[in-house]
Formats: sequence, structure tokens, C-alpha cells
Amino acid sequence: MKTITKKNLFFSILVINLLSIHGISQAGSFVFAREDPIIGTGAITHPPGYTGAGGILNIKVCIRPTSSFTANLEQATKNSIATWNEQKPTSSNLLNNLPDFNSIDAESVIVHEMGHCIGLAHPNLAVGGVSGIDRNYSSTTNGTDNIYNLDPGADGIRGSTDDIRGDDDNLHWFRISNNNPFSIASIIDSTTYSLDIVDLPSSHTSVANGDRLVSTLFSAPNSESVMQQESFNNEVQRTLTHDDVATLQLARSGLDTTAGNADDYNINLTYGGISAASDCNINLGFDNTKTGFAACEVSGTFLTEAPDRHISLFSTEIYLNDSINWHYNTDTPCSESTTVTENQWKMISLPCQVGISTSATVEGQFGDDLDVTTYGTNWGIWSYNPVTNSYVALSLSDELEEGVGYWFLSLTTSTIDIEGQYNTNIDVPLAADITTGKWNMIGSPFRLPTAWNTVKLVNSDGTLLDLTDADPVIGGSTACEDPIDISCSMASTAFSFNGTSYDALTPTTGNLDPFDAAWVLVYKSGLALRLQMNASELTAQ
Amino acid sequence: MNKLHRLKHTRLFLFATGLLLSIVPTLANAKDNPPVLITYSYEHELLPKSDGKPLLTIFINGNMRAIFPPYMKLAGIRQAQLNPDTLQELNSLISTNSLHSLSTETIAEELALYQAQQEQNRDSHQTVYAVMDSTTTFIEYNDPANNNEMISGENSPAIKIVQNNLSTNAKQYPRITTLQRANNLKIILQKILDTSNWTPVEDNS
Repeated sequence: MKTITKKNLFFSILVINLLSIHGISQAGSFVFAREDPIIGTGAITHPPGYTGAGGILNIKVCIRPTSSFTANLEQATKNSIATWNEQKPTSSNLLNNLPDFNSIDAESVIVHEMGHCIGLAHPNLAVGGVSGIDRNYSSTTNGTDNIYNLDPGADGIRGSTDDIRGDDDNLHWFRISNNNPFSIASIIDSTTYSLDIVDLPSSHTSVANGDRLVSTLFSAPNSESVMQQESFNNEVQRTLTHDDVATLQLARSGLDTTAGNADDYNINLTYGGISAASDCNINLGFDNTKTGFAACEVSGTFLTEAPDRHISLFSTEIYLNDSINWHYNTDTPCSESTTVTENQWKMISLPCQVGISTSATVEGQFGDDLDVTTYGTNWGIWSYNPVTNSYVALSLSDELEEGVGYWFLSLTTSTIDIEGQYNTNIDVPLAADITTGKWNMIGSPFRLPTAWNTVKLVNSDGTLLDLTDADPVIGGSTACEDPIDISCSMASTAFSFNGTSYDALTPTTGNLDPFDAAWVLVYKSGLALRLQMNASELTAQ
Repeated sequence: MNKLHRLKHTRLFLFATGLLLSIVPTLANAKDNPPVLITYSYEHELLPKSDGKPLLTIFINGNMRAIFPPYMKLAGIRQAQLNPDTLQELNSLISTNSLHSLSTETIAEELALYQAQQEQNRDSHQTVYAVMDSTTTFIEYNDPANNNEMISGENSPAIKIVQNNLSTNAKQYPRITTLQRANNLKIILQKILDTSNWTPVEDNS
């Protein structure tokens, strides 16, 4: 077992001691949580303005007027705000597609720093004296022996479920049912997430974190928590993972850490512009005297007494260094178009992520291509409600979602385009009926074709099923064929409309193309569909 | 493919960086390179160490060299001339010993004293403060007692200052004078790095 002692780390401890009374740079899943008699490892830090009262927490984010390059920061800031407001878990969120290989994506870094400024810390072991790949271990204290016990276990991957961490006290909240940071519970509070390793699954020895190497162990490759402490050139990481969302939602369960009570809250981040207004809660800008790259400086006050301490942030500042070769995201890096044929029904989907830098409404996405005054007469969009088994005519102000399929009809041949950000893998909830099945209309969220046989189903416990697991062949027919076998979860064949008839997508053949949608028949409740991004999409510009 | 590209790129850069680092002490003794007056560098914990870190070297005659990692706007090895006023300012700070042997250790000593006092007054209701994603500052300068000995390497007699989040901590702890002085020195060096007219070094051989 590799150990790092305080004695050996005199130099680093000197550094840490600079912050050890009022301030820390030690990590945890929540800012400030640490081995300290006044604060404690279980401290939960809440965004600016939280007092213990539930409701909507309005948080204004402003760019400091004194900063250089303020205009460059606006889009990345707005996008980061939308990303945290949306709180959508994704996987395969590591893309390598910047036009300048050596540049660093400003938005990815701002999403990370904004996470700190609403209370989240690093899931990994981001402490002085631990360097290199050892920082991938999950966040802990150094325990009663004052030694970080670092053993990656049999898999050799740091931060995974079989690490051996001795008496180090865990600081990373984990999902009790599976210790899988690339899954998320339907209810998120202290009944489903824990700090106590006694609550780990019986075969696990350590808390797993959302590191990119760990992601491969959970069949979610190319995924990493945005709060993980890593930045690389040419890397884009603008969407949250399950672990990021779960940690914030745990805080949102309030002082009693029980979801569904009056102290629960949600966040509503808004962009306050380039402003020094006193009501700006999070201020952001370049200042090379504050950081060599990027940092978030936070102050907090205690809301509750020990041992279950809750802290509310009251001063949050994000600093960036302007000597970095930053890549500044535009409002529509993803822009895809397709042609719709006059008077021909088409199943459509959104190949770009909407609702971040572009509007998610019908009018926002199609209003620049089609005459909105003729909506409902010359063209229209319908969604399908699997619960009521009925179609719903969308209004111009209704919002569209990635991963969902829609019917589209236009009386004229037109080119329509969808604009926004790049999509990553998302989990699309599915309605189910155990006896007759429920038809769900799902859509491709990607810019490139995705092979149907790569589709995964996510169980409510976070485990993944292949199509052939969901609908295994039993005695010459599949489990979801009549008569339905108990092992049937979802019929493995999907149906996509080609304009005149349906094409079958099976476990052996067929792609779901950009803008395309398909019907899937679902029997088992609690499932979500995870379409797998085409590998080329990770680097496609 | 990209990872491979990055690896190759990083290796090339590391090779170049290593080349320069090995050259710096040599340069200090070479006939056209006087001793080093001071070096300044910093690293950030979000960035991989394999990409290197910015390194500013100022020679006593005002010649300067800087290494900028590939992720910086000025990526590469560059040189510039320090303006005489700033050189005089630095020389004055160092050669007259007005830094008073400011070092990691002297800061730590003052800090420990301060912390001991603060710990007695600590209560469970005061505010807490943190800097997430820290920058570590490295400064090395020549001890005037060494009479222009070259500074470089682990065994050099140079005085070292290594501090985490120096600027924010200087603001947080205004009574720790060593921290204030170290930060003032860092501000001077950072300004030099940010505002000098850097030109690429075409040939190091």
C-alpha cells in the first residue's frame, strides 16, 4: 500500500496551513466539508442566499466590468448558467473537438467553477501532497493515522469501488443502492445517498467517484463529473453527469436532507450582465493576480450547529487568467438541417442540445424557417403521450426535448434547422405497461447516425441492459413477443417511419439517423433509454 | 487519435522544456549569460503537470527568458528585455537584502504564530472561506550573501518561496507581513510576465 505521510509532506502542509483556520483548499463533495471539530466531514454547503427556507433560490451571475475580455465571457457564462439550471444528467460528456488543438474550453472551466460557487467541491482527492494520478482517488480525509491510504485494489483504477483506503474518512456522497456515480436515484436525499461507507454495497470497499477511468467500469466511457479536478486542452466538457446533478440535488433536499419537505429548494441562476451591481451573487472575470488558470473564491456562514452543519455561501467570485489560450464557445456550435417534404408526415428529433444557448420552444427552433403565423394551419408538431396513449398538438411556446420523437407535418417542402450546443448521451425516461407494453416515441439526439444495436437500457438501480438482455431470445422467439415472458423489459426492435412505411431497427441491423425518431415498446417500468453516441461524434467539429 | 496527438505534442513540449531547463544553469555560466537574478513560476491544480508550467527567468543584466506551456497564448520559449526601472527595483529588493530572506519557511513561521493566536479565539459561528482550484506560486531568488551564485536546482543556495493561493491569502491575512511582501514580489513578477514584449527564441543551441 502506498502511503503519504504528513511528515513527508511538510512542504505541502505549509501551504495548506495558510488556509487552515478560516479557509481551506481541501476538497470534498461539498465545499468546506473536512475533518474539523467545528465544521465536520458531513457539512453540506448550499448556494448563495439559502437560509433554510424552501422555494426557488434566485442567484444572479455577473461579469465584473473591471475584467478584460468581458464580451468573450458572456456566451460561456450564459451557457453555464443554463446547464446548472437544467440539471440534466448526461454521459459521454468528454468531447475533443475544439478548432484549436491547444486551446482550453472556457465554458467547460466556467461550468466547473460555477459548481464550486453553488457549493460543490471536487469528488476526487484534490489535496496538497497528493499529486498526479493519485488525485483520482475519491475525496477523503487522511483519517486518524494522518496518512492518506492509497491502494487502487485489484482493478488498478483509482477512485473505483475496490480501492482500499484504510481509515481515511469518506467525503464523497455516494448512491447507496449501487455506488455508481454514473447513475442517479429518483429521489435524492440522505435516504438514498450517504457518506458512511457502512452503507456501501457489500462487495465494495470504497466510494467510487466520477473519474473518466472509473466511467469505463460502469459502461459509461468518455464520461467524467464536471466537478472532477481535471482540465485538458482540446477537451469539451460542458454537460453535467449524474454525480454532479445528484450532489446538488442532495443539497437541495435542505437542512433535514429529506426530499419533499418545506426546506427543499431549487436554484434559478440568472445572467446579470456585465455589472458590478450589489445584488450579483456570483461575480466572474479575468484577474491574473488571483489565479494562474481558474479559481472560485467562496465565503460561507453556518446555518446549523454541529454535528450536522449546513453552510450557506454569501460571497462567491470566479477568477480566470487571461494569458490562457481560451476557446470561447459560440451560441450555436451545433447547427444541423434537414428537408421536410410537402404534405408528408415525418418523425423528427433534435440533433442539437436546445435550451442552453438557444430557445427550446417550437417557435425558437422553427420560427426562423417557417412562418409562425401559419402554425397550426400550414405546419405543425405533435408529441405522443404514452400514458394517455394520445397525441398532443404542441403550441409555439411549448418546449422540445432531446431524445424525444415528434411528428412533423408541413404543407410546403422546407428546410428546417436545429441550432444549439452539442448533445452528449442522455437517458430518456420510458413509460411502461407490464402486460401490453407502452409505445414510446424516442428520437436521436445526435449529429451522426447511431447504431441501434448499441442502445442501452438503464434500470432504476443504475444497471445497464443491452437490447438482447432486455428482450432475450427464448425458445426461438424473443421474450417480448406474445406470449410475453417475464424476462421482457423492452422489445428489441424499434420502428422508424421513412415517409411511407416503417423501417425496423433490430439488434443486428439499422441506424437511427440524425433528425430521426422511432417507436419502442416498453414493458418494464423504471427504464430509461440511453442512445450511444457514434464514436466519431466525440471529435466531430 | 487526439490523445495520441496530445501525447506526442506534450512529449515534444516536454522535450523542449527539459532542454531549456537544462540550459538555464548553463546559460547562467555562459559567457553571454550572466547569473540569474530571480525566477518565477506557478502551477495550477486543474492542469496536468505533464503540460509544464510558465517559467520566467530574469538575469541580472535584465535579459529575460520565459517558457509558456502549449495551452497559453504565448506558447513556446520566448525572450525579452526587462526595462531598467523594473530591473533596478528588483535588484534593489534582492541585492540590498530588503526581502530579508523572505522564504517559505519565514512565511510559515509567522503564519504558525498567527494561527496559534487565532485558534484561541475560534468559535463555531464565524465565517468560513475557501479557494477552490488553487495556484501554487514558486519564486527563487539569489541570496545576496552568495555573491551572485547561480540559482537553479534542488541543491542551489537560492532562497525559495513556494505558496498556495498567494494573492488571495495575502488579502485574507493582511497582518501576516511576510505574506504581504511575498505577494508584492509576485505582483511585480506577474506583471513582467504579462506585459513584457516577448519574442520567440529561434535557436537555443
